Amino acid sequence: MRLADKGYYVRFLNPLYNMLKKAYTLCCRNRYKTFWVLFAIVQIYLYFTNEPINYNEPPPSGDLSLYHYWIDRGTQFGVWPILHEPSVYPPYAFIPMLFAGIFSYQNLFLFKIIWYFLMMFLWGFGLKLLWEQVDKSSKSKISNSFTDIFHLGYGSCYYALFYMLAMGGVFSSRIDCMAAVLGLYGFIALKNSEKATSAFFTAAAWTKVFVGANFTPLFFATKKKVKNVILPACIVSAPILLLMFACQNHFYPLSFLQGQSSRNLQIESVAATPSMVSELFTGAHNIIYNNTIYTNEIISPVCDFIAQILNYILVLATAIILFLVFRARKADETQLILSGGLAVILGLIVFNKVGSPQYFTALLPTLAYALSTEYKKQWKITCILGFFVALFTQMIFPGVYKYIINYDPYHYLGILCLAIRNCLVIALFIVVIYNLYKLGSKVPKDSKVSK
Amino acid sequence: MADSSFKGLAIGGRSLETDDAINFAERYEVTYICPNKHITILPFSSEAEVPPVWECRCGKIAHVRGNTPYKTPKKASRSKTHWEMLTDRRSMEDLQKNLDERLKMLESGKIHRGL
Repeated sequence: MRLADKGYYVRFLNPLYNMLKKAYTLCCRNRYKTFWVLFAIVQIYLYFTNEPINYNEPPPSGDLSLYHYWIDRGTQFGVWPILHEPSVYPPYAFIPMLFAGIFSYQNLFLFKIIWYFLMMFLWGFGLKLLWEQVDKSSKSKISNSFTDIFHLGYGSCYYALFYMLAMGGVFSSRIDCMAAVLGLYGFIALKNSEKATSAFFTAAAWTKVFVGANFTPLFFATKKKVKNVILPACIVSAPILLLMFACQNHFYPLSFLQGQSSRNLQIESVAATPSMVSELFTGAHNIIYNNTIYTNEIISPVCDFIAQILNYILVLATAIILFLVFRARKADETQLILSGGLAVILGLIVFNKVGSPQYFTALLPTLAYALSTEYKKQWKITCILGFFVALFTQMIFPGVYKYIINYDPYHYLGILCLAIRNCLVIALFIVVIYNLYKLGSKVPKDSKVSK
Repeated sequence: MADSSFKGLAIGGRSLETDDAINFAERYEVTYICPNKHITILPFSSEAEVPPVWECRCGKIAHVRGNTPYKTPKKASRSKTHWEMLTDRRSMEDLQKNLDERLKMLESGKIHRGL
């Protein structure tokens, strides 16, 4: 009761409240500086989640050791993935790996540091460009609260920051981070040049397929298809074709597609969730580690059947989504590329046999850019859902993942997290498909098609 | 006292010879990767049977990923032996001359063996 005394508030809590209020106003007035301070803090957080102190914990940066191993082996013995053996990644994925590999002198620690700095600079530069674009279009230069900042469009940059924080270490330690930043550059270039957008999306597709899926709505939305979309894409893909002719028999640029067809359902995939949940009740233990592609898979007659038909369902679903994109081709170009691209990406995730945590990095460029456009209010629900998908992804890996694969007493908690995340993914998919469908239904006659 | 003490040698004694002319047995490196993606690289003799799994430092089972030729380790810089320092200062002819002179002195009784 003494705490509720009026005198106590006046003497202690009131000055504290005033101080916090001042700091808040200061942050809102200096929104640019505040953003970069937060960016630095997020990068530090990503580094420490990537490198757990306990050696027995699965490190989210595990894939970086593999990248380092490939580059180290290549530089010492001349055995390169893609050139000499099939690879799980498309050809351009090896460019950032090579960059980090050349300057790290065979040292894994240095390789990781260079990689994190590379990703930090690329994302920092992308967000700076996005901020400047919002700066040009925003009318008011003064903001007194964070709600103002979101209304002005700066929310896009802050959203990217909080999305990174929600995804955790997996965000920066995978090749998907590189593809996503290329996607962001593509979206930023959309206002000035469709050619640049097409080039960036193609480069992203040759780095990791998901972000490159934005290319398809761009193709449908543009009027001058050959000049603005196909030609830049061909120029970006030309080095791969040249390499293919140079190496003839020893070149596997599309091997990343073959590796997926014969595998089983990964435990995190959306299609595996019903089986995972049913395991809780039946007590069956069907998780097996696949040592060729380093994943944990669920093996049972039902799952084998699902895995087989999922190959066809994926093709069918992509075709239906592409039809919806085609149907909405006369809608506003930016809206179509955002909605259509996200629908294709989510289709590839939902109907995939794999559901790796890094796949959700691919959603970020679309969601962040959508908040900087004039349609930000329509994208509110999608962005909130996307954020929670990212948050649950971090809770699963590196969070509760070890409980699931080890059949720990807490593994029901892991499966619960997995089920919630995958339900959120499906909800997000439905929202995006609904938006795309609505976009196709309401096409104004005098709409501006494209430049 | 001075004559009975050992100088310049550690207890346990080690060879002052270098491994310059020694050829090691043929070997290659085997890579193991565990589910936590820790990479363990081990050298095996070319005659040895390579185990398909190896226990990682984190306690998980690491699976074999392939063989690569053995990297010859870089030679670490070492200090010169006494003999090498001597050969740096004197040629073999000079040393032979010195030895002959000392042997003659020994035979004539001008000097005597230490003990």
